[in-house]
Amino acid sequence: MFRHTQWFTRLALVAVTLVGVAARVQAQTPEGTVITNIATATYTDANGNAYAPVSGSVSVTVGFQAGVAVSANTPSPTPASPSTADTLNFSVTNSGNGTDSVTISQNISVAGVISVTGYRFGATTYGTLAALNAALAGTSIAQGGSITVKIVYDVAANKGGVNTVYTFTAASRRTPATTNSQASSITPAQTFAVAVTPDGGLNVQRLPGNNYNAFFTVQNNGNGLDNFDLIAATPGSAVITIVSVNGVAGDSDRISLPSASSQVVTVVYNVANVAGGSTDTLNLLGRSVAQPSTTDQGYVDLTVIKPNLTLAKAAYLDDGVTPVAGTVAPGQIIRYRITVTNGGSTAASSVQVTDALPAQVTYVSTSASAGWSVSVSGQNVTADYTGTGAVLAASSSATFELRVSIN
Amino acid sequence: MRSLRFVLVALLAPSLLVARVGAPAQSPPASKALAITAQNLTAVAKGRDVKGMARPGDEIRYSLVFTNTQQVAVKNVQFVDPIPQGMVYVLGSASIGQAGRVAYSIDGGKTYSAQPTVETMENGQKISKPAPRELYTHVRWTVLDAVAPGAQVTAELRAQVSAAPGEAK
Repeated sequence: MFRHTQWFTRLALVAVTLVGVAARVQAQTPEGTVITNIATATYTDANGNAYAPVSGSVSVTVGFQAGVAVSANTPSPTPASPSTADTLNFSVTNSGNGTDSVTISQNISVAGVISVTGYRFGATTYGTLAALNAALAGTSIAQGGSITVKIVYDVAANKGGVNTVYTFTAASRRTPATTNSQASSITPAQTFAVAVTPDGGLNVQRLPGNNYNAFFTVQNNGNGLDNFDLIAATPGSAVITIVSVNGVAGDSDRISLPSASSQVVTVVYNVANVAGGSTDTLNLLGRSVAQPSTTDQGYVDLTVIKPNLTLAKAAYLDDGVTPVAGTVAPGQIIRYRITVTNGGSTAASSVQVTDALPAQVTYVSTSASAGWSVSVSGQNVTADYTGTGAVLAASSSATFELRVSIN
Repeated sequence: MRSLRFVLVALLAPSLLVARVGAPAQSPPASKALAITAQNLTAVAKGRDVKGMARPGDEIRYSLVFTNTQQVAVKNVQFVDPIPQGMVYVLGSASIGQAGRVAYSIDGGKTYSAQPTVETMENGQKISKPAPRELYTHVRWTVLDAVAPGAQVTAELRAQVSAAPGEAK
């Protein structure tokens, strides 16, 4: 019997507990609630006679407890840069135990990225925080009730990837005050674009030689700070050899460019001693590090230029007009006319002609040798071209004559 | 011992009803046999104590003082205090000023236990766990010794004004 009672009691306890959990959901006690605690004492006398229970009570009135809970409904937006009329939503819940109203304040962590243009509450968009707060001052929020405020803002240009944190703070207007804040982390979406110039058209002509400079302009046309890999290349001919890019030995470098800014990059290269008229192209590719599919290539066309001399030697009678034909007699004076022609694409300098005269003739003098400095040592004649800056221009020729007598 | 507890429960049940409904009318006006006082510990600690006022989350200490107004010694003295609506018992806070036992009810005063438990299902098995404080409905103090005429017995408990979940104590 006793055991049975105990089992039954336990069963009943479980059942009641389950009901109790459902019934006694903890809620915040509202302002103005009077909580009365009534206790009872029972007792008997020494003989076990029961007496009427006695009781006592005490009451406590629940006062106001402020409670404000802000939630950011758009915690991490990525608006375009630039863009206008973007929005952030914040909800303010009165988690206090009585009717309250709130005042809003804000903080923007990084200046210049966003500008707030309005505060929408209900059907009205207020132009300033002060105007919003004037409206909110007259807006009672019941215990557990909430309001929503929409922040309307613009995003400045060229702010792609520049994070700024907008913090929204709601303060209870009642005493004792309390506040709560939530933040939205705004990161304007970044766009990527690069332009490398020139795109040909320079018609660069170079002699074979070392350490020539080619200048490229790399422009960040995206809306945010980006890094760019610069890769110089030639299409494979043996003409151009790349020495350095932007001061860094080798054929590549990496630079960082703010949006809408540019940098001139120097590519140093050598030109091989190949045939005049050979062509090659020097490319510089700009590639976004953050978005490698974004590239642009500039290029410089190059033609190798060289002087190309030919020398012609002819014999004339001493009248300088009649070519020698047939035989000449001992003691007769003839002229060797030497013509140097530059058939190349660029001027020739240090032009020198040497001539070893045959033993059967003796040097007499020069004639028609303007622009030449001729020196004779025995049978050896050396002539240096000294005309027009001592360079023999492309497509031009120079002539001098040696008068000799036949032995 | 066990049988005694059941007897007490049986005795108590009707007396509780009386206390709830008819207690104010029955309490002796002149010599108060049972006096309760409330002290807002939180408000005192924070220096904002206003008598009879509390905020959600505030911890209230209730002191129950029983005075034997009879001419003879009494025994089997028991206090029962229902946790008022809007308050939550603070675990371990019930005490008594002399030899006695404290027991708790989580079923509206029907049954009492020194350590109330609830059964929950975890991984398909029934598990007995200490009852959360929100479930406590009554605290009962049992004085073991007789109380001499004119003597007093003090019992105490603390309870917290219900706060929103997550609010500071």
